[in-house]
Amino acid sequence: MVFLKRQLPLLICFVIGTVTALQYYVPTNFSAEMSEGLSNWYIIVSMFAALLGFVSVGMVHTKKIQRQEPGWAYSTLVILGFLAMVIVGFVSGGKETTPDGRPSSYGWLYNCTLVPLQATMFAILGFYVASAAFRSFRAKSFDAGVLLATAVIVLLGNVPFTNQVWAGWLGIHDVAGVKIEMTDIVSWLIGTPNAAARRGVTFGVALGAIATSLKIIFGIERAYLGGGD
Amino acid sequence: MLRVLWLTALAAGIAAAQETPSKAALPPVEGVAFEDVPADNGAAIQATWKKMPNDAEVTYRIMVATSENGPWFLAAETPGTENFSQDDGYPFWMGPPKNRELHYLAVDGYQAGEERVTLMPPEDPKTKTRKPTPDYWFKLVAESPAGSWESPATKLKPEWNLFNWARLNVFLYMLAFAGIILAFIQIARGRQLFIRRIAGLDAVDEAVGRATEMGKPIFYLTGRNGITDVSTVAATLILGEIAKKVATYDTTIKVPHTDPIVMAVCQEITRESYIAAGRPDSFKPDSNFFVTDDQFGYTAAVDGMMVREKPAACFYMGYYYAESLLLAETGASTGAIQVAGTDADHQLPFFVTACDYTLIGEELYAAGAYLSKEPVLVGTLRGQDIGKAVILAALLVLTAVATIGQWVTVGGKKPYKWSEIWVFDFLKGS
Amino acid sequence: MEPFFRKLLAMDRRWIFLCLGVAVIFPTFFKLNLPGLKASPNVQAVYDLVENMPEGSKVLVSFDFDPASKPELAPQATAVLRHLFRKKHKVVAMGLWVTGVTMAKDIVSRTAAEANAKYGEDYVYLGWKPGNFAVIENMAADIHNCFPKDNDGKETASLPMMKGIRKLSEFDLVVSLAAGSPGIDTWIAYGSDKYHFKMTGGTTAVNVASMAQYVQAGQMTGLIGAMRGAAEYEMLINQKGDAAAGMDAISLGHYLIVALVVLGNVAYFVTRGSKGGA
Repeated sequence: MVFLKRQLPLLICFVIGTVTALQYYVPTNFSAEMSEGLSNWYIIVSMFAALLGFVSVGMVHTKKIQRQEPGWAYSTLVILGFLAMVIVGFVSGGKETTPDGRPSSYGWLYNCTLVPLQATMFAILGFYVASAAFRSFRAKSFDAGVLLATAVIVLLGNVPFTNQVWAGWLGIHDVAGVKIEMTDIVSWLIGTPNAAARRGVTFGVALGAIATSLKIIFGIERAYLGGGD
Repeated sequence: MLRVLWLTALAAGIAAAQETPSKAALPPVEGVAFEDVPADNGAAIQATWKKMPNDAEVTYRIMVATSENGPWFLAAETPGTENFSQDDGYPFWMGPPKNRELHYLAVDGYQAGEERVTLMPPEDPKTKTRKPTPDYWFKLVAESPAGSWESPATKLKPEWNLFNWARLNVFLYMLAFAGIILAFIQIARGRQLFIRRIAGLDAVDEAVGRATEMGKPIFYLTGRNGITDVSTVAATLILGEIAKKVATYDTTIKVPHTDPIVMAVCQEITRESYIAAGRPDSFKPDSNFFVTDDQFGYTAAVDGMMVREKPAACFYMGYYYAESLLLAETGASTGAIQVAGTDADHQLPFFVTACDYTLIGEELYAAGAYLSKEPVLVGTLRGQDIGKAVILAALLVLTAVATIGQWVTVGGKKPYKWSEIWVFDFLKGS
Repeated sequence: MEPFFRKLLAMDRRWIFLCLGVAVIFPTFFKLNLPGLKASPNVQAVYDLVENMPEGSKVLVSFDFDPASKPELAPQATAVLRHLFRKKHKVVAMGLWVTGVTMAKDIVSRTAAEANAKYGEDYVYLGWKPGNFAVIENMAADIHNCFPKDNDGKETASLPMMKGIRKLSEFDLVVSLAAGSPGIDTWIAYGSDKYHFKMTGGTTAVNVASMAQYVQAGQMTGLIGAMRGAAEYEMLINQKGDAAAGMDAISLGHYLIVALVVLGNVAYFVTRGSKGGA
């Protein structure tokens, strides 16, 4: 039992991890085929995992409905929505349009429910950004002040009309003999200090990712199998 | 480039069997060599020859045959002004010397009438096998209005190689870094290594304590990526530590998931944490549950739960996308104490704005070691720091060299220009 | 003034939501046509790439987004596809996000119909396949194996255009229009860096700064950023679309947020010293 629960997964992890890492350096056909095979296995396993998710959703929500827990009506909506999409999808043969080119019922559900619902959720982000900018973005220190000034410049520079005002109306073109537009300042801010900071974070993240991968491949880190040692 | 040449050849309708041009006036091309491509799967060969004085007028063709006496087929062609060894695509430690004095062409097939034939026989789709690669004969033909010349035929078979030497630099980095990490793990087994304070993780006790006092649940999110993402693995490890504290205080934890595999892993981790805390009977399997893999469907569901249940604490660990602010702002509006940890650099500003504590970048990976104080995990952190120090030192030294090189001139040339520093070339493998 | 600012700081955030709503909806009904749009170097680079490829080049367009990002990325996709079809390039479209399949098909068929492009000869829509990065790896090995059938269930190998395309490396250009991951970074890590093909793409405003580093490092050529990038591309191809129409709303939204930041800070400094200040 311990073998199946601990040693076998660790062994599989070590073998697959090492082989996949080395595959990058071996240019043979066998190596490429093996990589393709492993990718296929990943796709197959991930599809089985979808079943896990499906079971989890079903269990959590039916339990809520059975026990009439607070908010159980939402669970009913989840189940109904799920069933509606699946049944309509089957009836339409998974096609978005009918043979004569009109939207199928599945296509209608997709275009008239999923699209606006998702777009709405994403659009809320804009409102939250505005609210957070007003409430939290304060020049409480010199550092915060620099951050604030930069943010304002980038925000303004991202609007084409500001460039029109800057270059066309205010006539600010030449700074010490160099033609500078608002977009140039924004590009510099994004491409130089911002990119430098991001690369710093990226280096750290990449090294951390390699170290974590090594720990997993060599079985040093095994908590993901459940528990510590 | 080669593909363009191929297409040009095709468009010109070059016929299957090319007549060998009559030998005449052109001076012999020097340094003609046909070799196997040094780091491939046995699909191609390469040809090199020296630049000639009349190159502007010459068209070079590589001809191939399966027997010494032909028939000869066109494999590739180039005008004399193009395709030099400096553009051969190999790093400097491989292939012919990089310059514009030597022509270079790689060949992986030829045109036989309408059909394109690869040097390596194609795989049979049914048996998934290939016939053995036959021997080929190659020759170079130079043609100009003044006449033509052809090299003697060379017998050659493309061979596969076991190691891609073009990736030697990456291989050496991998070995070096793995060595450093493993060495420090060994060192850490012997002695205690220092780990600096991470405020966001010290707040875990405060958050769990608050939840216990208020009798409200803790929400723990593992990010939007799958278990193949290292940040998700880190998030699951932190969950294990937090779940132990949750079990000890007998508080409620809710872990909504967007990936079923991560859910299964987290279920096991939470169960083990409850066992480790000595409260296996308090463990609820449905504390980890799947919501949906749809980004905003997940966000809407979790936001809804937060608004209804008013959690005492929210943890956002792992990788996040546009949903970060939607989650964190909603959490903040419920009055929860919020701790985020992500290596998604573009979402950090949102978390910093809306959360009480934020773990930045690799602090997320350090969290497992920090919370568990496991010497092995702390050792890996030290290894990472050494790796970072090496990169930092390399960056500083090479930037200084490159900067100084802008002004230093030796013999009328700037020897330290970016492109001419071999260390840079080795690092990027060009 | 102080009590006013204190009230302002304590105001319900829904007032802010309302202001932003008005700022965005107003220009939708009353066109302002604010001037000043100019192609940025990154968008120009994408345009030049498509423009200068020889006619009939093979281009893969990956729709790596879902309807949530449609307002930003669909105009980009439309503009790029219009340009590709206009230049008579061979387009293979697909997606790595399952919820974007229908939307992508709609955009591809609409732009193809505008250009009288024939299915199977000038363009193909492969649809979606699960597996994230594994799909890219499989496509690098054999596209026909990875997608044995197109989105409509036709044999991929039977489509005339696909006969000459078997591997990712055979594409002259890969365009990833991505809202997140899998997206541009996945295509670079598992595709172009390993199998050496030319990459370009477009992304949402929130991701522009992240993706810009790939352009700087030479791992991709050019980048279309958000709705503004789409509007710039529409301007370059001389065919205005949804992005150009949405730019007024975007502009007013930006100005409002700047005004809110400034107002919030003024209120903060005015009320800072006093009792009950923020």
